Amino acid sequence: MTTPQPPTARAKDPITGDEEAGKELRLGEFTNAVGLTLSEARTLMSVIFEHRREAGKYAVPDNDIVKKTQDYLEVFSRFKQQETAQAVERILVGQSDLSSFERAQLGSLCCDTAEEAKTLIPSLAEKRTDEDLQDLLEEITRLRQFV
Amino acid sequence: MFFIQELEKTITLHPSYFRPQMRDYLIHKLHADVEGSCTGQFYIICVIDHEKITPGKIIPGRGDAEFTIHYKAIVYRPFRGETVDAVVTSVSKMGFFAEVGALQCFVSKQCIPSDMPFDETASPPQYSDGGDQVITRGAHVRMKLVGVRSDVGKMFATGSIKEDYLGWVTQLLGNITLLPHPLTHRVLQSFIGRVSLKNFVVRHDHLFPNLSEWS
Repeated sequence: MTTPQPPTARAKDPITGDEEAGKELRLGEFTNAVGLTLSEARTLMSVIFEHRREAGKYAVPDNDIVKKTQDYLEVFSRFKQQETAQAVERILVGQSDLSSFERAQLGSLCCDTAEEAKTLIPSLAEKRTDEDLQDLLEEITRLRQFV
Repeated sequence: MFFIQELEKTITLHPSYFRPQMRDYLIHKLHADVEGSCTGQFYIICVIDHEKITPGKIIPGRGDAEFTIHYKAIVYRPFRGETVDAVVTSVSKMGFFAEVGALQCFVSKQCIPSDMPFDETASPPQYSDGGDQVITRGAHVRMKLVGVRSDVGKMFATGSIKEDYLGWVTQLLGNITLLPHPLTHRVLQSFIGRVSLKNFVVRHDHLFPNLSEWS
């Protein structure tokens, strides 16, 4: 049994620049990051800012990028009610064979058919059959029905 | 796409800040420096919480102390090949600009399907298929990001709407999705305003199974 050798050279920096989310997900440093659907991001941000306003200790950011992001999320998030947002989260968390990125995309784009989902999220093509995917999409669509 | 990412930031404090509220000041400085900034790879939108603040290390030769804060933040990182919804900001004969939150995207004419030509005579200028699909300022489009470029403090993207299921999408007001009921149909008509009701119904026809029975 040999003892592990100490490194004799500095570790190389990871290669960046070829990240993409096509047929194969190559997310670089975001491979293990938690993806958020638009609704989740909106809810999380409003909770954090609400908390900051109430506590009074730290300021809520007042810049362009944050404002534009908040406006964008307000327009495009599909599940504004807390109960529906949590229900969608529960459905998506249960899909353990899909990566965090794919789950977040499903929750954000809200496709109607499995074909649409597979076209818009190419990496799903090999992972699920059309029937399974269609069932999942219908569950999500049903939740979109309730204001 | 939005992620929760663990990041760290090193902040150097002048000795005049060494007082009881020093940690609070550090967090305040973290928020001010980092929230709403762009690293070139992603935008940091909002700090969620700080996990660890290292003890301050006095820099030899100066009185300043260096702290490293480990924190979690909501970040926005666009990926090539990702499908996003965007709001159109300006239209020209070369293509149109759209914004995905803070990220500006450009879709060139080559990436717009040929059945949506540029209509110069219309006011405002628009890409239109002659029917309901009109890409003009304020319209919502679904696009796929083709390239992402980073600059100091900013990122730009190029996109395409040439594939299936991409392009102009109906604007949904709030989250109206209703029980199919004749009364709601009338409510919807008054609610929707500029969005064509027909288009809304066509896109969501599973909501209106009894459409033929309604007046």
